[in-house]
This record gives sequence, C-alpha cells and structure tokens, in this order.
Amino acid sequence: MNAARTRQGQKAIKGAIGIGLFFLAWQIGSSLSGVGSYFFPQPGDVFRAFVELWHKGILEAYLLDSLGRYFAGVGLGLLVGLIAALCLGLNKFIARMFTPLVSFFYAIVESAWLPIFVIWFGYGITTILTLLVYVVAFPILYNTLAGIRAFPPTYINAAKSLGGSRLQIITNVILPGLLPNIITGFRVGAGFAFRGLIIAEAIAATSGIGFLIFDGAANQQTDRTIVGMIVMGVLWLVIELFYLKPFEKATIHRWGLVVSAEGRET
Amino acid sequence: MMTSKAARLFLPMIPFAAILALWFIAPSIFPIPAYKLPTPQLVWEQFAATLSDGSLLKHVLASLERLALGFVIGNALAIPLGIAIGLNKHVSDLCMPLLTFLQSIAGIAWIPLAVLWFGIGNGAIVFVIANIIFFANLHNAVIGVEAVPESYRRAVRSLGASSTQTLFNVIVPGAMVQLLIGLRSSVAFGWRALIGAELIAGTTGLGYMTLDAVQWYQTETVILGMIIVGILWLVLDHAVFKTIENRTVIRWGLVRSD
Amino acid sequence: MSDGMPKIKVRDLKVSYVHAATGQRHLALDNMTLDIREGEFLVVVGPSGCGKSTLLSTIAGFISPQSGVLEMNERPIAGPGSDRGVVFQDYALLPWKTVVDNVALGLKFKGVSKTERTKTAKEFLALAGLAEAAEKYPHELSGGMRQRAAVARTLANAPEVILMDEPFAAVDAQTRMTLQEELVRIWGQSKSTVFFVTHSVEEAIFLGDRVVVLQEGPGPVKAELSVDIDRSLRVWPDLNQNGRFQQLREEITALVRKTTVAA
Repeated sequence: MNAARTRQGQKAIKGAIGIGLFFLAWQIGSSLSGVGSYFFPQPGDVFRAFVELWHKGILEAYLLDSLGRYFAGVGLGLLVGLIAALCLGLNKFIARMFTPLVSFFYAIVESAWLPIFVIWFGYGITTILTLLVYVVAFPILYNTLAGIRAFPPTYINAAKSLGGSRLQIITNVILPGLLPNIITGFRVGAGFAFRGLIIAEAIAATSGIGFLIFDGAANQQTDRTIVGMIVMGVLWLVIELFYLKPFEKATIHRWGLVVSAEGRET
Repeated sequence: MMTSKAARLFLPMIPFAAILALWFIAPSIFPIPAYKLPTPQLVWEQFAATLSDGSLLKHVLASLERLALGFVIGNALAIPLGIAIGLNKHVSDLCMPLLTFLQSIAGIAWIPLAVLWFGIGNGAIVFVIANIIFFANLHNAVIGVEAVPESYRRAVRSLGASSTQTLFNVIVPGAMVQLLIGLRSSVAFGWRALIGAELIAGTTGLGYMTLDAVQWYQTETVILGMIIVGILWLVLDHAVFKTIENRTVIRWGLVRSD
Repeated sequence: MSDGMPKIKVRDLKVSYVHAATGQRHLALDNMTLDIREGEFLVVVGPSGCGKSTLLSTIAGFISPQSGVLEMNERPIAGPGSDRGVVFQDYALLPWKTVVDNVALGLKFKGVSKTERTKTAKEFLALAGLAEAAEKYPHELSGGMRQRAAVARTLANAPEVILMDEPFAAVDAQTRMTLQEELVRIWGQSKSTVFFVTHSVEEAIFLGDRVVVLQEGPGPVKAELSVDIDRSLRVWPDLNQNGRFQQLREEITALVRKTTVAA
C-alpha cells in the first residue's frame, strides 16, 4: 500500500518533470530562435492570449458552440447508427449482404464528404452536424455488423433450449451481446467526430474551437491558435476520461469481453 | 438453393446496384440540379477525362507520396521511442503524461502551425501526417514490448545474450504482432487525416482536388474524389496490409490482440 | 425404468449439413436408431467424428434431420424447446448476465416474476455448490464453476430431458471427477432423463445406466451395454478397483478402438 503510494508519487513527479521540460524547451527554443511570436509564440504569449480570450468571453462562447455541436452530432449519430444497425443487423443474411457496402462507405473518410456536404447544405450547422452523424453512425454500423457475423451461435441455441421466443432472444441475448460492438464503434466514432468537428469548423463555421485554431493563424494571431490547440486537447482528455472510458468499463470490462474493431484508436 | 460461395459473391452486389440505380433514376424523378447531384455518366466522363490528361493520377500520387513519407517518418520516431518506453520505467514515467496530452491534440489541429512553419503544401501536410502516425503507433509499440513474456528475456539472458542481442532477438520480434497491427491502424489514421489536411493546406492531392472543385461547382469531381478515396483505402488496406499481416502474424501462429 | 414407450425415439435418422467454409454437403448421421427411456441416464460414447454431437444437436432441435423419425413423447421434434435442456461443452453462459440471472433465464422466458425466479435460481445454485458466486459474472468463475452454473441453469428450467454435450471436456481431471459425482447426486434428486455425450469411456461407465457406442462415420449404433454396477459403488477413485468396471472399460474401449482402426 505504502510502496504503491510512493510509486504513484514518483510517477506523478516524473510526469510533471517531463511536462516541465517540454515547456522549458518551448521557452528556450522560442526565445533563442528569434523568429518572433508570430512564427513561434512563447508560452507567455499563449498564456496572455488565453487570459484575453477568456476575459472577452470569446473562449467560453466558442467552447459552448463546439460542445453543443459535438454532443448534438454524436448523439444523433448514435441514434442513426443504432437504427441502421437494427435494420440491417437482425438477420445474418442481410448483415452479410450489406457488409461490403458499409465497408465501402466507411472507407470514404469524413473529410472527403465535407466538400459535397458544403455543396448540398452550404457553410453552417447543417453541414457540420451531417458530417458528425456520418462519422459516428458508420463505425457503429460497421462494428455491429461485424459482431453479428461473429455472434456465437451457442448463445442463441442455449436461449432457444431454455424456451426463449424470438423477441426474448433479441432483447436478452442478441442486443446485450452486441452492446460491446456498439460501444466500441461508438468510441471510435466519437474520436473521429472530434477530429471531424475541428476540420468542419475550420471550413464551415465562424465560431468554435476549431474555428479559433484556424482563424487565429489566418489573422497572424498564432498564440490564439495554440490556445485553441491546448483547449482542444484538454477537452478531448475530459471527454475520453469522464464519458467514454467509464461507459466501457461498466460493460465490456465488467463482462470480461474483448472486442476487436477496425480503426480502433490506440 | 444457391451454393453459398456464389451467394457470397453475388449478394453484396445487390445493395451496390440498388444505390447506383437510384443515382441513375433520381434526377429524372426529383428536380435535383446537376451541380448538386451530377449523373453517374458525368462522373464517369470526368473520370475518363482526368485520367487521360494525367491530372487524376497526379493528385492520387501526391496523396500517396505524402502518406508514405508521413508513414516512414512517423514510425521511424514512434517505434524506437515506444520500445524505449516499454522497456524502461523511468522513460515511461517521464514521457507518458506529456505524450498523452500531446496525443489528445488531434493532428488536424497542427495544420495552421505546420503551414506557418513549412508553408502551404507538402511540408505542412507531411508534418501533420507524421505527427498522427507517430501517436497512432507509439502506443502499440509500448504495449507490444510490455507484452513480451519475461520468461523469453530470461531464456536468452541465460543463453548468454547481451542486451542488444536481447533487443533484436526477443523484444523486437516479440512485439512484432502489435507493431504490425499498429502499422496498419496508423496508416488508417494517417489516411483519414491526410484528406482533411489536403482540404485545407494542399495545392495537390485528392483532398485538395475535391474542395477546389467546390468553388467551381464541379460536383462530378467531388464525387469522383470521394469514390477514389474509398476505393484507394480498401485496396491499400486489403491488398497491402492484410497480406503483410497474414504472411507474418498468422504464419507464426500468433493471434491478433487489438 | 418403464418398459413402455421410449421418451425419445430415433428411427433410421439421416442428418447432413452444408459445410460453411467449403460449401459441400457432409453426411453426419445415417441409419441411426436409438431409444432414450424415461428416467434413464444414457451415455453415448464414440471417437471424434462419429456424429455423437450431431445426434445431440438434432435431438435438441438445432439441426433438422434429412429423413427418418425423431420423436419425443410420440410427437415429432420440430425445433429447440424448453422440454429438452442442453448443457454445452463451452458452457454458453451469457457473459453480460450474472450467474444467478443466467440460471434464472429460462424462468424469465416463461414469465416467472423476478423475485420468484431469483429464489428458484438461488436454490439450484446452492444445489450446485455455487451459492457464493450468484452475483458474479461468468468470466470471474473457474471452468468447473462455470459448468456447474450451466448445469444449474438447465435444471432450474425443469426440462423433461437433459442433453449434455461433452460438458466436462474442458476442465481438469480432478475437477472432472468431482463434477461427475455431483452430477449423479443432483440427477438422483431430479430423476429426469439424461442424454450424455462423451469420448471418455471411464466417464461413460461412471455416469450411465446404459452406454451406447457409435462407430466412426455415419452408420447404425455399434453396441449397447447396460452398466450393471450398483450406483453406491460408483465413487472415485474406488471404482477403478472394481472388477466389473475394469471389464466394461476393456470391452467398451475395444469397441471404440476397433471402430477407429477399421475406418
């Protein structure tokens, strides 16, 4: 117990040293290079930009915009993905038939859709939301179909022998059995959606953290770009640690299952 | 009853055919202007035209070249560092929190800085792709090394192996499965980001080609670009990476573990 | 044991299936004739590939026969049903349900209330020596414990016939003997009909009232033997010293071996 705590403490200290060294290198590098804060802002510049953006209320407004878009898009995407998975998935025959089509659309990455969405829906929220829905729904669909193709027939046989009706087998066996696949797909999609949001905001929005990152650079306010990058990184860590991981722990880990997924992040 | 083999080849064609048919018929039923949804013939003609004047190949090759460069640079940095982190607790403690944070800054967000530092075009995009591929495979290298059973190391140590010999005879081959998985998934991430990076910072490449076409309402080029993005990825993933994986991982009797 | 109508009647059964990978039709059972009597413990033993598991799956209703008669209580078997409980070799416990919920699953399907089915499930878990593990998930149990839970799940559903497909093949030798003894004890209390498939001759003699030997490849039953050893004498490891046991073991082993060599 005590040894474990010491080890944890050491780990934290070393980790802090690592981050400290990074900032030190950044500071020394940016001041020695002498290329000016436009090309290579110093940590202090970035901090000042952060304070300024915060006081003007810009950061808060952008953050709320991005979060609103993200959660709306991911929520809708989850819904669409689930409905599509239910339609295509409850029959092995149909699941097999549609797998190549789904693989093909899954292979058309989200950025490749962005131009056509701009043509169809213009620059704005519709394009952003459509992109996020697409990017969340397909990994869910893809992983669910993969789960159906590999579903252990003994589970279904066992339930049939216990007298389960078709509906009872769907609700008690198939849906919970596919939940790990759905969650894995959702996690992959949620990660893609976050990256997709940044690029969509860069191209099709006039607010949000993604906009801040690209707009800062366009207006020669590189310090704002770096503020945006750091806020984005923290935001993703928060989403990942507090929303996605606990969800996975409550199901997949608890049931002792391992899911293999395509395009799974790290 | 159809034999299962023929069924397996034939059935998946149905949804593709249905979508294609819908695409053919749609303009004659709904009043969709051609700039919103060009007909399949238009897209095909665009394909033939850009193929014969060489512009399509130019964009495809530009994209693939960046992906390849980013892949080489990213992995050349990620694999040694990942092995070092996996082998040494101190390196791991020092680097992991920082790397975790840097990883969470999506590669795409580096585009403005990369453009500033390297100028618009190749340099900026390769920087971003290398960055993404680096982080995508780093973790796999760490896991791969950590998963090499201690008994293997002890076995070669007691056979008199030096630490360099241990590294190349045990650690690297032992971590190979995970490394190969990482190589494959890192390319997936790189490819995904490549198209995005080209949208913004490209002067050539498939991503640039599609967004540039939007300005001229050349929607057939946009759709052509999308189809090529999809096909190229499937070919790359199946023909190249699955083959490499099958040749090595499966031959050694090792199991995928992602 | 009644001499009346068999519980399950198998006459000239022919079963074939299409191999998923090659797409070729494979004949698994042919000319199979067999009776399972009410209340008996019938063990089928045979080399791998003799079709014993196919026979079990057909009786369970997972596979439809190509031709022949397959009846239970004089009615044709049309598909899986709760009158025939199955214990699978790989347990088939649902990973997302706790042990007690797994055992209560059949009762849930029947519409039994939550409190009542949990109570029943806990009784059967206690019978299987698993009272402590009720709230755990299957992956937290050892192989032996999982198999006990799978047996408890089948028993809790009170089937008329229990079909067991090499249920103890995946556990270690020591656990296997314990599970065999427990199975006989539990069966003694429930008095249901058991159809048990194994490739272990010792297991067959230890458990069975009757042992049926199948030959390799599709074809009729090779031999049928009654195990005339009093159940009170069937205790591990003493049974190994029993003369009649040794005799039967030699006889059945010879039958299994001969069929293997002949093919």
